Amino acid sequence: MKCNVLIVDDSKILRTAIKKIVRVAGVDENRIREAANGQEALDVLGKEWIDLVLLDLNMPVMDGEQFATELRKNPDLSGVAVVVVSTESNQERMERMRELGVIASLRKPFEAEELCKIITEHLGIAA
Amino acid sequence: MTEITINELEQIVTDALERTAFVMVDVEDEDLSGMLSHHARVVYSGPENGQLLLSASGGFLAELASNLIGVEPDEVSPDLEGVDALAELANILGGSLVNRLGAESVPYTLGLPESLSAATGGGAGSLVCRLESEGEPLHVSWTRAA
Repeated sequence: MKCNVLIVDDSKILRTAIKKIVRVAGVDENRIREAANGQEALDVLGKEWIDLVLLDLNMPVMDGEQFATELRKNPDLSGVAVVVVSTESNQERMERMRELGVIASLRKPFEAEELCKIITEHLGIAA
Repeated sequence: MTEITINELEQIVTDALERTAFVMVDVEDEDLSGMLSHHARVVYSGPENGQLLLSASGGFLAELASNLIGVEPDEVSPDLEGVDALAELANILGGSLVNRLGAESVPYTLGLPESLSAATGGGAGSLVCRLESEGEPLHVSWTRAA
């Protein structure tokens, strides 16, 4: 599948776990990128096109909400789809994320199948 | 103040382990505290403040980390992937706990999880659940600020 996916999470082992799920969803391994915080994610987006960002919220340096705010300031990146994958449950904060263009969210702890389904739906991959 | 029982805390931990890493745990039958070698903590603040302290054996961390990333336990290091996995588990449990405390409708701030060289906090007044998976212990201690 020729879609580029960016995993943004400060936990290296969780990025590895999510990467496996993204591959199971049908995305080529060489099209998966990783970032440990929002700033690193913006750096990746400055270099190449990303179709889908899987975004944690609670991160050092630049958190997920700050990242989404910066992303929406850049009209060249308005087509980037963002899915929040985090422990966040506060409705007010999630509403702010939706206003910033987040298309879906998945709360940790999640099962691999749940994330796989979201990825396939949003990348238009046949399950 | 929302009351959470030891059984509910155990359920939060059990659910997180099963959903995230297919790790099945039982309540500890005998005291395995002497095997606890790695620790992680996450603090939260909001309408009330508190912390979760996680302590586990190297064997438990190897199982947790290997299940998370789908490799054999001998392919991971408790001191590398295991420490990372325990910190992420602290993050997940902290999120589940504040959700249970009402974070959907009132704002809580969850700190970043931190790995500790020794257990700090989690003394008298803490709610502690002592779990094990195939003889490898995981203790989760919840302390509410006074």
